[in-house]
Amino acid sequence: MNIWDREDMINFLFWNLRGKPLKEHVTTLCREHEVDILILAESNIPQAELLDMLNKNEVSKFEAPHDLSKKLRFYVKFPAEYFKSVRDERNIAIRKLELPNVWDILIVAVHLPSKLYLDSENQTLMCPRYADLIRKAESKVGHCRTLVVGDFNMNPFENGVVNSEGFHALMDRRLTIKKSRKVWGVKRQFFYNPMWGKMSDSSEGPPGTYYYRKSVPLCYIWNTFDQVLLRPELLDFFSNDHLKVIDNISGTPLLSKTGIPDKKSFSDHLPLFFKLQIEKEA
Amino acid sequence: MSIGDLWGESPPPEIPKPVEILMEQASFLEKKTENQLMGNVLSTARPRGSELFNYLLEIVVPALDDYSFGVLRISFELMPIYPLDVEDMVHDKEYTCNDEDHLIDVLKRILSSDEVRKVIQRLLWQIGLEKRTGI
Repeated sequence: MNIWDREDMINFLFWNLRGKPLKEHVTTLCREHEVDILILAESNIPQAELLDMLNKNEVSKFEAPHDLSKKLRFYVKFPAEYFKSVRDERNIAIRKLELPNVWDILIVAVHLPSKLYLDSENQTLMCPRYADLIRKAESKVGHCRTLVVGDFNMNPFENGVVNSEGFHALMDRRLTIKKSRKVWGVKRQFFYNPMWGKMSDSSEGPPGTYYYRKSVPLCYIWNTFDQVLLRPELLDFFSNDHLKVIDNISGTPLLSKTGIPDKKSFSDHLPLFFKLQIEKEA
Repeated sequence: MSIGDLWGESPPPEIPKPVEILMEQASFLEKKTENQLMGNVLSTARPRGSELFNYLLEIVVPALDDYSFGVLRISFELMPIYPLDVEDMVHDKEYTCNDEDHLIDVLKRILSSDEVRKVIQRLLWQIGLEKRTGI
């Protein structure tokens, strides 16, 4: 397993492909960023085809662990025995990464309902379900070293992501390190949401991960729907410098000349890349 | 002198009938698969202040570290129970059932569907594989 050569760094890539046949580009991205865990949403690429391409002429091979998730696909660069399925449900797939000699982590991949089907209020009302599933999974594996990654179809500032009964994901690392706060007598755990730092044109990289323009009064136009959230228990393993919204693949821009995602050639979502440096178990 | 029972009508049964129906189907799955796959019915989160009761039917696989697969969710009020909503998580569909017969019909459609059969087959296949390879 070559990941140990990079000082226990695990590289993650999430991309909503929007059904586009982008296997060559996915492969180039994985090689360019030495991806260990690839998570795809809306992928119609047959698993075997993508595996063939990912592994062509590679020493370290990807595997596609057996799983029943319809909306989310996982490809991992370790033996599948280290990457176990915990739960699958309609918009959520929970996996446990149990590499030898390092802390186990829980990986929750989401592809939440689009605003085309649920308005913001109803999206918010759905979030306690996901929070409940995550808490149950954490209680099952016995730890909270959890990350949630995927297409939330909500921005980091929207109610479902921020409120205590939903993901409870906040923008301040120092605040979330306190782990939880009491809300009307009930303890609610935090997530840290580093994506706040990836919004707007003053952030490094593009202003968001998804661009949608509509002739209505309230339209953010740039959205940061693709996010990673981390429990405080994982923050020692994560640096904000290791999070990137990707805007090119080996120099080929994913944005058009006008600076918006080139959805004709690629997806309307930009890929999200991040690293975790998991410590050795004491 | 006794003034009699002032409590009004008898309270509804302890377990609402739709939940009982799910539990029965869960136990059929266990019997069918000789307990390799367990059916689990659990109450799930609801928005605060909501009168709705939510119950999820999931398949749990003890041989795969209790991996669980969500099949469907029912949501209902206690009085009256119907109309009751069914969220078919396998086919991404929603149903509203007006009575028990309708609920049974919808459950049959979901549980006997090709998709659910494939899920069951794949889980049994994976259990067999893990037993053989010891992974």
